[in-house]
Amino acid sequence: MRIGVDVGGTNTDAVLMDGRSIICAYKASTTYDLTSGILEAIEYLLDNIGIESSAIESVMIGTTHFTNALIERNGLLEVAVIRLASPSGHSVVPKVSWPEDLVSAIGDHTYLLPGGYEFDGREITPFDEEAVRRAAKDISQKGLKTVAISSVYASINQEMENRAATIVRQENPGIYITLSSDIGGVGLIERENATIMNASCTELACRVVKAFGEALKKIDIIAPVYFSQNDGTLISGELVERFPIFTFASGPTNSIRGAAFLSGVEDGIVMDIGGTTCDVGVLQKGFPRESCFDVDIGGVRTNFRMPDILAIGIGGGSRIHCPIENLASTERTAEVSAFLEDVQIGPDSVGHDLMIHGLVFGGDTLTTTDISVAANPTLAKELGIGESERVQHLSPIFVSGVRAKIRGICGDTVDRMKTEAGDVPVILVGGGHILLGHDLPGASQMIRPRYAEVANAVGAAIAQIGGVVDKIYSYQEQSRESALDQAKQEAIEAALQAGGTAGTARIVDVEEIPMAYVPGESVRIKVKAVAELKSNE
Amino acid sequence: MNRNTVALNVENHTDMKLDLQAIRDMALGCSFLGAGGGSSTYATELQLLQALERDYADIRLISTADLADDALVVPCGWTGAPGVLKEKCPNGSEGITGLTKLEEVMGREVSAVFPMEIGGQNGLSPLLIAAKKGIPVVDCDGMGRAFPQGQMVVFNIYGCSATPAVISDEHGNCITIETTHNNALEKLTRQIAIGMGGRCHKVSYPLSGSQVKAYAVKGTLSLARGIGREVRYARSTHEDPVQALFGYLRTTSDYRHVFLLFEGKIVDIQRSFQNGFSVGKVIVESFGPEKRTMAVEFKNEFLIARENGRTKAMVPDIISFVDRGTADVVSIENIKYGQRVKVVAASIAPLLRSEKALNILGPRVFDIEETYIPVEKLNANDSSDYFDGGGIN
Repeated sequence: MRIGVDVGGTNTDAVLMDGRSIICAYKASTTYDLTSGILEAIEYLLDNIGIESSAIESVMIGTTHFTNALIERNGLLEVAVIRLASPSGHSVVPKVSWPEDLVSAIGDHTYLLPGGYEFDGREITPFDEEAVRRAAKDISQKGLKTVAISSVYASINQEMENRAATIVRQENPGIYITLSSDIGGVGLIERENATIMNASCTELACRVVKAFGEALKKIDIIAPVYFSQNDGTLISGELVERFPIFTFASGPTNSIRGAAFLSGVEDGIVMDIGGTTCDVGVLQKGFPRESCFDVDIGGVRTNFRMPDILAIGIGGGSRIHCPIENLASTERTAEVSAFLEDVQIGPDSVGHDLMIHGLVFGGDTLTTTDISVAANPTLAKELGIGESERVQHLSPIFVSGVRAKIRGICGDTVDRMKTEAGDVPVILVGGGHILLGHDLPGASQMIRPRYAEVANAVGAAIAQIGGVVDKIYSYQEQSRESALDQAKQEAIEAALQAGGTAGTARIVDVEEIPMAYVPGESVRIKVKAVAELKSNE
Repeated sequence: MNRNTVALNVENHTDMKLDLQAIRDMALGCSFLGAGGGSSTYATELQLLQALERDYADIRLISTADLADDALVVPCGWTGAPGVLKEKCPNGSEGITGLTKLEEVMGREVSAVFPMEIGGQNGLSPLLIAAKKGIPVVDCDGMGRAFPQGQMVVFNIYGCSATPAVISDEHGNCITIETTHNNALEKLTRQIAIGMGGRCHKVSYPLSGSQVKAYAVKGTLSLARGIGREVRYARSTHEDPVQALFGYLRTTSDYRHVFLLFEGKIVDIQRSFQNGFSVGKVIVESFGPEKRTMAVEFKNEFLIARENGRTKAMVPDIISFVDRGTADVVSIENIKYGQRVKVVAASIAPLLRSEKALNILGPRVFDIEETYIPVEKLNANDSSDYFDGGGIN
């Protein structure tokens, strides 16, 4: 059996799974120290089912903690940045477009040194050992704890980054080092940004991973701990200590993957309706569709593969603002019709205090949930949400008008995300799914799977192991077939090495990008392989 | 005498300082005018950000009318692989190296610079040179869009000499070239670009102020800025940014025939390499039940768009893909399966549609066996015209 945990900003959800069936789920509040919330949730699962800790074979954790650390500029280390590229790149120094407060949290310790490669593997300038050593000594003198090293075309050849790391380590034993070639991707600025952000989180990552491990030990769970990453696959705790950035934006991925699992649908639209927002994503062959454009995290552009998400400011706790008093309960239908257009939904929300402030829960704030319950008391009763008697006074024309607005906005969002014409299944997950009824424009069916409220934790629990290759090949030096085969093989090996079961590995994505104008038929090949985790079977 | 008094007709001069917002607006406009090519503007925006915010540079824009007739004015730009810019960023001195060498060869100072092509990042990179050298940038360019080859420029159409030209790299290396035919410069430059790491800076077609006034495509930096500004306003007021783009282009004289050719999803993208160019075809499929398709061929930039076999626009008119919602430009290097786009076409300066121009940059030069027909004629009777009944004729 295994446990999936989703550590969100507000809630910590956990599910206990055996093979492909869900045994039990629990929702706890996220605690300041993270671990006590996790402990509460896991202990509940174990006690409720009455199983021993030793029955747990693995624990999968999805967390937004490192993303939040960057967004809140909290717990970050100052970073020394070594870029091997000089004289190229001086016109765009590291962190040039970063938000000022993030730059001041990370400090200004930049070393622009000779090195780097051309597209064809030639050196831009030779590696300068002495220059790197001087920088390493300076880093030591400043007492910096973490270093980010980048070089031009590191995806073709990472030798210079490795050499620089060796020298830095000689002068600074025990220092954290992040290499851009380990982060991967083509695009120096985006890759370097991610490398620096990663370097700034490494100490925090070590602390958090260690704390998770110790917490689990306390309740005698000795199973390996994995973390979800942004592409829906898992990495080990040791890798998270070195590459916390790989966990960024795992939340939306987990909710989409969880929705796929819970509903059994492989292609469709997933709406994750929370208290304040609704995240709409696309499910393609069981995986989230990735964004076409580069993604900003905390104001910094990265080359990360992220799910293509459209967020709208409507959730279960969104407030309804009326232009005139008592509009919601008036019996004068002409008045309602006249002012309906000016009724505003959100973007402010009562959030997780919905159970206190919402009308159906005995509060005094009109929210989207109240409208939904009034419009569909049968469904509300089925789902056990509030008391519909408390919203009987709302005027039916007002309720249906506001509901039409919500449906219109959601339907439009679904339409914007659709990849093909025609109606598609819509899967509703998250705590606010009552917001929508049994139909929506553009939806072939509305699916409300059991355990929809903990889809994120389920997504973490069912994640697979992935392996990615992203490199430039020359079709003059080797045939296209041989380059593709090599890339696929490397991706599969990477997936198996990370804990996948041999024989279950499959290639899920192949992308070829010819490098315009470059001779030698240079092509960038991105391949992703995934495999079932050994413990999932 | 001060360099600038040589450059400027002081009495008329309309010198304007550009700020970061202006540059961001220009970047979006340049991307649209890139006709799918011209390379992403992102790295160049960052360079300009650094120049403005860290080095406190001044970027001054003047109009062609401000130029003294005998001023030496030089178009600048990069040649080579757009993909290389994603990894290897410039040192920032390349353009200065080239201009300094050119001044030495010509025995006189350069008074102002401007973009050889307004499309893509080449529309922005001369701003950086101007800032570093302390000279103004002129509000004009040589193509009115982006074209794949150096000889596809108005100054060649008018018979100006492309040389002396100087090619330079980030190490301070430079090569001075004299040629007997303008086409030779393009061929040589492409080979040198490979040697210099896939990309090099080029200053060519050194011109007099009066030549620029007579031949250049005027006001294109302001045009690019206007496009970006209108799209930004529309986004901030939650209006349709694509409609704002159309509205703005219709106020211009050269680009006023603008059409929404198609709207749909990318269902196929074929790319291959032919003689150092990225050549291929994109297929866009409509959303409706009737499944119309549009095929758009490209050679670095978009060449021709056909809906169910019927030609809807062709080079030298501009064909661009924009995001349905945001009007962000989707350049050919960034096209991916599944993207939802609007295919837009716009007219171009009459000079570039002349018979002489078409022999240098028309459809037949790209091996398209069709006679050029302007976009407004191809779409004259189309009832599916966008916004207010389509283009103004």
